[in-house]
Amino acid sequence: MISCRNVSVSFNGKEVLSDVSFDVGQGEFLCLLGQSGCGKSTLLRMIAGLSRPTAGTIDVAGHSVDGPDRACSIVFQDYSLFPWMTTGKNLLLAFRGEYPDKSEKELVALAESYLEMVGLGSAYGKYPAQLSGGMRQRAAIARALGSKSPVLLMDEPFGALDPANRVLLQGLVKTIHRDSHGSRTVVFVTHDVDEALCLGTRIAVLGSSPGRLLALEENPVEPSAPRDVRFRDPRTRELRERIMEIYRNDISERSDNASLAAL
Amino acid sequence: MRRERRQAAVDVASILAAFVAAWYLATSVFKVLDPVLFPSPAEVAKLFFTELPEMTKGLVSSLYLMGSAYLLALATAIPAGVAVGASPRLRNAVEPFSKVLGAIPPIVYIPYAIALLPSFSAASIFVIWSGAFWPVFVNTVSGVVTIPGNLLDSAKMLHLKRSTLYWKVILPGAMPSILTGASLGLIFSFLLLTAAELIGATEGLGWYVKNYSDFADYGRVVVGIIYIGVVITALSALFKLVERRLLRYREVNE
Repeated sequence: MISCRNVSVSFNGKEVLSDVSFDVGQGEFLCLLGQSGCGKSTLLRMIAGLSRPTAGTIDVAGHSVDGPDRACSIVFQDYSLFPWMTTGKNLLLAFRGEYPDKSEKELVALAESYLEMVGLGSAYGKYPAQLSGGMRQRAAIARALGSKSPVLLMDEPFGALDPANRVLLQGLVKTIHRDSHGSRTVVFVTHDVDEALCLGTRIAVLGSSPGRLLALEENPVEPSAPRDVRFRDPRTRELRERIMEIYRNDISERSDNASLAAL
Repeated sequence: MRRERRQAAVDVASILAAFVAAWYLATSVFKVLDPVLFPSPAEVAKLFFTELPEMTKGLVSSLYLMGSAYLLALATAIPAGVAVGASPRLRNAVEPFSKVLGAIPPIVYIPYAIALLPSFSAASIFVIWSGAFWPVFVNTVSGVVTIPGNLLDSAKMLHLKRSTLYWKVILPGAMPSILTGASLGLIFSFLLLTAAELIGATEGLGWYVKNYSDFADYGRVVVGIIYIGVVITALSALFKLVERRLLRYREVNE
């Protein structure tokens, strides 16, 4: 579904991402895991077509990405919804272009049904400022789901939420992905190892300065496993240990380089 | 909140009452002020009502000039500001000009504009327009530039039509800043209107004040000034109402 080949990015001569290659199959849930500044959001923006790689190619749904891509919808950590429109109007604005054949009445019904799906049945007429952070993210997810694009990109969507809401929304995203029966591919950016372990069917571990792919780990626990079972599973613990080990090695390697450079 | 507002109203009324009392004592009781330069509150109050029809006639003529110039300024500055704000290249090209032109006090144009343009109304509309244009323009540009990047990216991912993008995303996104500029522009309009009328008009509020001070009729001058104050207060209250309506999405209730 998504294919990144030797993707590199530099800003003002500084390399932000270096030679990243990976594939995401249809129906996969890939987590891009990395510390802040490792270029994981940049990578996501390039898949969306919001910025371009300095070198390398990105293909989505069988075509090379060139500008904002119709195969992708995106949810940001904040400001995904337009604050001057009610939640319902936000969805309508997106759906009008997506379903040109539907009447306004059908579009309203569609928007209501998607809000219902994320548990926001009563938020149709409310402005984003009247909703909590968690509710705003639910609405943004509803808008993304309503679009016909097969790829859902999420850029630390729950980074600003309190822990309880984060867990609820992780559950929601997981359910949505499961219920799509392989028709939706998700790429989810996070810096939280546990979030990646909970959500991803695969985890891309990124290192920083410059950003590069350190490892691509298969999540051994089946996606349907409930949260508590998953975190008690020794395979989850093992994978977390392995990821931490990858980061430890990366950091010590880099500090070696730094001390070598200092000589 | 409500208690605070009531307190504020009481305080404002007290200050006003103290001022009028001091004025009354100085003019009518102790008579320490020159009666020609300082008419008593009673005289002014009486004059205010007898002069109301004439001042209102002046107001109509003033508002006509100011309204057309101000609306013209909005109608030119907002589209120009949106266009310039949305294009980095245009922004770089225009910024040096707007910095210089925006910094010139439009009052200096008044005598030249009167000499240049065929009528006083044309000249004063031009001067008011040039005073209101820059604050609206500059704030529209900065309003467009400061729309959060994620909002614009969201809009890009929705593949909106160009016109929809401008009407539904960029214009409302810049609206808070546009309104800041528009309220500055409104104040500038009124300043320049009265300035223009002081210099070249044959009617209007500014002319009214200037005309009676030429005749040393300071009672009418004071009345005219008070009337102008009332008009400005009413205009800015009206503006606040429009602003609240346009930005109502920011008010969080429940």
